Amino acid sequence: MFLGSCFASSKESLASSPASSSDISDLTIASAIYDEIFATEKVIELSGVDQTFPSVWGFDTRLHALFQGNLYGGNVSFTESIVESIRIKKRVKGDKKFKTIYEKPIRSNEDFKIELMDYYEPVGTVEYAYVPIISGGENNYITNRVESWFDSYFICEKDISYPMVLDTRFDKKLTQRTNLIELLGREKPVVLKGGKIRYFSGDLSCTFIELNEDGWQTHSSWEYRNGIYDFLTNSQPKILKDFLGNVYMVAVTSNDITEESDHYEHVTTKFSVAECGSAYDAGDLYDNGFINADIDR
Amino acid sequence: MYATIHPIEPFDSSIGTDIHFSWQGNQIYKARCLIKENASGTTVYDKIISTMKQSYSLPADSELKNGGYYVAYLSVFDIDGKESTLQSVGTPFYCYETPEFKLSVNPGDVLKSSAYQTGLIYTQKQNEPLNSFCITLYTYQKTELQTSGDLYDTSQLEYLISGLENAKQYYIRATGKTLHNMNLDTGYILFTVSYTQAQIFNPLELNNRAEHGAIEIKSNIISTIGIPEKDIIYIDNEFADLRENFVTYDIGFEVNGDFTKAFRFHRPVPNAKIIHFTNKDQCHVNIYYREGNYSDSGGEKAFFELEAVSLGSKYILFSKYLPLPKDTQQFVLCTNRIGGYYEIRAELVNK
Repeated sequence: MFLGSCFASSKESLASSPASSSDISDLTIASAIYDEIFATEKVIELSGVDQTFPSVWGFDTRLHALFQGNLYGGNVSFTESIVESIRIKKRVKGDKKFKTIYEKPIRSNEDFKIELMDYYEPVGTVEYAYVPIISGGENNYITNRVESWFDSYFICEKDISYPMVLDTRFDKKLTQRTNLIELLGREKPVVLKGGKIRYFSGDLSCTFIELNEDGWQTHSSWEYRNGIYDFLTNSQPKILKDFLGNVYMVAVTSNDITEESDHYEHVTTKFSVAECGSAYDAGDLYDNGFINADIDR
Repeated sequence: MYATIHPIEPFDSSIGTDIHFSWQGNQIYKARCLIKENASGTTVYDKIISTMKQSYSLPADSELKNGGYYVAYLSVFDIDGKESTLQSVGTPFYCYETPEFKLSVNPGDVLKSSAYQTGLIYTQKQNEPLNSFCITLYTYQKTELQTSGDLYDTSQLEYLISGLENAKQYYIRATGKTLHNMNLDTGYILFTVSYTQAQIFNPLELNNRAEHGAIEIKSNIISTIGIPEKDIIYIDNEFADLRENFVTYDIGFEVNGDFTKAFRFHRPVPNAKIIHFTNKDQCHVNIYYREGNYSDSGGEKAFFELEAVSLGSKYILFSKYLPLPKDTQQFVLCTNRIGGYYEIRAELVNK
C-alpha cells in the first residue's frame, strides 16, 4: 500500500487484487442528471447502439428506476410506508369475485414476501391476486393464474394435507328433507320439502401409507396412520377434495374409526364424514379456521 | 274483440318507442293509441296512424314526460274503418330519460396491465335505480372469456377482468336492468392490451404441487424507493436532476453475489463521486467522473474511475477514455462484479 492505493491495483498492473464480494445493500447516486438505473444478480452485457437496459423484470432483477416523476425502483409502485396490509385473494371457476384467503399486516419491507400453500383449491384454473391495502382500500390487483391438478383424494386442514391414494373409496349421498303426503282427493301425492337442508355425507375408506422420495413407507405406515388418527379425531373440520373437482368442507361424524386388514402392513381405515360448511364460502372457511381473513363474507 | 298489448318497457319519451301488440282479427290498416296519465286519468295522447303491422310507433313528440307513469290503450282499424274495442284495462308503463350507462373502458382504449378493475357508471335523471348489471369480457372473435354474472349489489359498480394478454384485442360489454325493467347495454367495446414486457415476470409466482394437492403461492415483490437528500427536480418527467442532490436506495434493495449495475445519465459533475454502493460495513465502491487532458488521452477526454475499498485495501479500475459528451448525448455506465473482480464500461449514446 502506498498513499492509500495498492501497487497491484493500478491501471498498469498485470493483475488486480480482488475486492470483497459481499452483498450490496445500499446504493447512492449523485451529481448528475439520471435517466435510468438498473441492477441484476446476473452478469449481463448491454447491447445495441443505445446500450438498452433489459425491460423484462426477471427473478434476478433487483432494481430498475426510471425517474418518471418518482423514485420507485422495484416492480411495484408502493412501499411499506404506505401499505397497511396485503391480501391474497382467490377466484375459481364459478366465483364472481376474488375472495380473500390470507391477510398479512405490513410492518417492514420484508413483510411483502409471502410464501404459502393453498390446500383448498379444486382442480381447474385458479386465479390468485396479490392486493396491497392502502388507506383502507384495495389498490391495484397483481394477478396470476395456474392450472390446478392432482390425481387422488386429499383431506386437509390449515397447513396440513394428507393424500388418499391407495384403496380409496368414498360412498356418498346427498341428503335433503322431504315429506310425501297422500291426500284422499288427489291421484298424485304432495311432496313437501322441509327447510333448506342439503348436504353430502358418506363413508370413506383408504389405506394410509406415506409416499416420499424413497417410495411407499410400508414399514412405518402404523406410525403414519396414528398421526392421521390424531388428525381425524381433533374435532376440527376438514377439507375433502377429489381429482374431479369436488371440494367439501366436512367433519368426521363416525363414532368409530375402524381398520380392516389382510396383512399387518395393508390396513384400510374407514370413517364417515358429513358436510359442515361450504368450501367455497369465505365466511365458512374463516369460521372454521381454514383462513385468517374475514373480509369477503 | 280487442288487441292485446305486450308489456311496455320503460322508455325515453324524447326518443319514443314501439308498442307491440297481438291482434287476431281482420288485416290491420290503422292503429289508434290512447295514453292516459295513471294518477289523474287525463288523456295525454290519442292519435291514429296508418300501419299494417302489429306495432304502434310512438313518436318522440308524443308530449309524454320523463318520470311519468302512464297507461296505454290500443285499438285497430280494418279496411272498412271498423275500430276494435279498446281494452278495459290498459297497459301501464314508465317514461324515463335514457340513463347514462357506460364502462370505464372506451372504444379504442389501450389498457396497460394484465388485470383491470372495470368500473361502470350509471346515472338516471329521474333517479330510477339500477337493479342489476353484468360485465362480460370477450375475445376479438366475440367468444365469451369471463363474466361477472348478474350482480345485484349495485353499490359497487365494478368487476375485475384479469388474464389479459399483451398485444391482444378484446371486447367488453356491460348490460343491466333498471328497477322497472329498462334494459341497458353499452354494446361491444373494443380495446387493446399493451403492457411493458416487465409484466411477463409475474410478481405473484404460482406452482401446482400435485403431491400435496395444493398451490404454492410466492410473492416476488421488490418494493424499494429512493430516499433523496432534498426535494427532487424532475426534468420532463423523465430525468431526476441530482447535480446538487443525492438519492439512496436502501430499504428493499439488496444484491447478492455477482451482479451487473447499469446507469444512464448526463451532465455529471467532474471529479464528483457519482455512484456509491456498500454492504453497510467495510466494503465500499465509489465511482467518480473525471475530465481532463492526460498524457495518453490525446486531448481532453472523459472517463470513470471505480474505487473498491474492502477491509482497508483499495482496488481501482478505469473506464476507457471517451470524448466529452455533446448536449445530445448521455453516458451509459455498466459495472459487473464477478467473484471479487469488477469490470467497468462506459459508452456515449444519444439521449
